[in-house]
Order: sequence, then C-alpha cells, then structure tokens
Amino acid sequence: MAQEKLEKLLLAAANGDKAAFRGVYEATSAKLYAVAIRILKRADLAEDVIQDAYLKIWDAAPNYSPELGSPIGWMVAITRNRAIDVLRKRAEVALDDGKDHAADADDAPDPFELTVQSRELKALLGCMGKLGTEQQRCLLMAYYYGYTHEEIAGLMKKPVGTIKSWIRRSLARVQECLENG
Amino acid sequence: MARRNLDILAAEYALGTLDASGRAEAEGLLTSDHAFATRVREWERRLSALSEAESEIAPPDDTWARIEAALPQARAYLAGIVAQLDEMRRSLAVWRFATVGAVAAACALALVWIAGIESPFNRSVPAERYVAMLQNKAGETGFVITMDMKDKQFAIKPVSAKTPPSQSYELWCIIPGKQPAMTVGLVGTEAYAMMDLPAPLSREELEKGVELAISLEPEGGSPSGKSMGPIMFAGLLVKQTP
Repeated sequence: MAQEKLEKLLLAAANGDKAAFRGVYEATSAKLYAVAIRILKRADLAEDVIQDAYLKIWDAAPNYSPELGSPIGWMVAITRNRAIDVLRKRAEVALDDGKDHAADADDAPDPFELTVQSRELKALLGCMGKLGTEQQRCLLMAYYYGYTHEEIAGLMKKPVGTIKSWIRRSLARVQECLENG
Repeated sequence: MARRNLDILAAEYALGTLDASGRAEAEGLLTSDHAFATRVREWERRLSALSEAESEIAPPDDTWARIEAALPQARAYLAGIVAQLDEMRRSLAVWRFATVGAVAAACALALVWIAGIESPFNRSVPAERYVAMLQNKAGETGFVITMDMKDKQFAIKPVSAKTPPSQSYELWCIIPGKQPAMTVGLVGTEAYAMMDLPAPLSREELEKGVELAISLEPEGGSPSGKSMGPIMFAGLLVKQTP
C-alpha cells in the first residue's frame, strides 16, 4: 500500500475510526507478524505480541507524524520493542534459548540482496557497507533476531567484550556516515 | 550518565541488543529524558528500513477479531470527526455528558486563577463570565478557558498539556446551529494568552451550549480551515457568574 494511503488511514484511526484501523491492520499485519515470529520463534507468542502492538498503535496513532519515519517503519519499531521485551522476560525465567542461533544465522534476511530498496534503506546500507563483514553481520543479527551481546558473541565465537565494542563502534560509524554523508 | 553513554544506550536499545535490565533502564529514560527519547526514535527510524527485507506471514484469522474486541470503547465518541463536523459536535455532546461532573471543579479552579490575576478595583463589579475546562479522554484538564461578555475575548490558560514536536494545537469554537466549527487560532502550552472570539456569541447561543475543542493539527494549524486532526481536549462553556 502506498505510504500516503497508510498515513491517511492512520490519521483516521487516530480519530477513532475503527474501519480505517482495520485497513491499517490489513496492510501491515503480515509484516508485523513476520517480525514478531522471527524474534520469538513461536506463533502463539507472536500473535500476542502483534495484538499488543496494534493496541499500542491505536493509542499512539494521534502522536504519529511523518518525522517518525514511514508508517510501517514506525509500526515495526513498536512491534520489535514489544517482541524483544517478551523475549527477555522469557529468557529470565527459562534460559532455554541459545540452541538454534546457528540455524537462524543461515536463515537471516539479507537486505543487501533486495532488488527494490527505499531511499532510507539505500542510505543505511550505503553506510553499513563500509563496515567489515563480521560487523555488518552483528548488526543484522541483532536487528532481525533481537539477540543480546552475549548471544551474538556465542554465535560469532568471539568474546562478549569484542562484540560490545564492535557494535558500539559500528553504530557510531553508521550514525556519523548517515549524518555527514 | 554522560551524554555520550546515553547516545550509545539509545542506539543499542533501538538495535535490540540490551538485556532485560538495560532495556528497563532505557525505558525509564524514554519517559523522563526528552533528548534520549529523540535519539531512540531517530535510531528506530533509521533501522526500521531493514524490515523491508523481512518476509510477510499472514497472522491467524482470528487475530483481528481479538484486537478489535480489545480496542478501548472510550475512543468511540471521537469517531468520524475527520469527514463531518456534524459528527464532531455529536461526539462532543457525548463527551460533555461524560465529564459534566467536572464542570464544578472547573469553576472552582478558574475562580482561584482569576482571583490571582484580577485587580481589586474591578472585582467589586463582576462581569458576566463563562468558563470551560478542556479535558482529554482520560479526564485530565489540559486548558482552562474563560470568556468575558464585555471584552469579547477568550483567556486561555494552559494547565498540563504538552504539544508533540512539529505539531500545533488549534482551538475551535462550535456554536449550536452554526456550521462548521470556527477556528479561534493556534494555542500554545506554555503561557497564558488572550484571543478574540471568532464571532460574537449571544446569550441564547451560550445557553444552548457552546463547545470549545482543541485539535492536534500539522505545524501552523489546519491548512483547510476545517478541523482535520484528532480532538485532544474539549469542554463546554458554562456561565460562571450569577
């Protein structure tokens, strides 16, 4: 769906229009569900997360403005935050993860291979492309799977301290590159 | 924490690498530190482009029904105001009904405020005065507005409202039997302000019930001259003096 149309639906939803909000849901739920599934790996948890995310989106719709990014990007951020919070809570009680990270790594999306990229994605990848391959991989695995520093360290077979400083330095470099070109 | 460390924390929160305690710390800062929240939003905006590479998986069929059932009913009274100012009026009538108990509190609050700004010389001859307490859907008072029949102006006192960045609050006056709602102008959330009435208000109209509403509009106000944005605060002008 065109971004302008989605913005209009969000604005109507901000005014309490439930039919418009359903339009927002129809246009975005498959993406948000996929984001939640990748992080949580369980359909039931992902469904709970997107339900919470859409309620948050409904509440926050009056605050949305294009300065916060595209409507779908804004909604993805809300969904990821909710999914990662749930993931961390589960890790606290169960500590049963950390098994299939290697399989995840093979299955990770590769934004560099996308044939159609938004202007924002092109700019971001232009800057990420200047990082080393391993550093790029750390950022992508963190973004798509919501891994902690420790989990990435396990996956990359590097000390946690190394991963932490890689990620910090990479983020600083990406920021500088995006701001100064 | 030094600003630089806060910048790193913001970036790591948005990327998602923080553990539970790091996230809790960041979430605390999100509500208390405006600069930190801005940093986080910036990173979320930048990184969200990566989700373009994410696949699409349709959620289970009953997900929408579960979401719809959980949507707060309280928002229903605001439905449909984008297209029809008629509906805006009806919505506000429902709102008025819901908040009528707060009017007495509005009068008391306004009296305290007016007593504070008025000189002792004209207090002995009270002008005919109306007051509106503009509340949000949670019942919080964002603005107290008083109007003097003599000087034909609104006195607008912001109480607790905060304007989101790059947007403006616009004040509207809804007079029974007159369409559409009339814009009074943009209102700030910092200082007390005086604004002219958009049209003369008769006692008859005031008795029927004149509504004041504040909507959230693009920066600089509604470009069409009609309220387009969501109504954030509303209240009824009620006679305060005997």
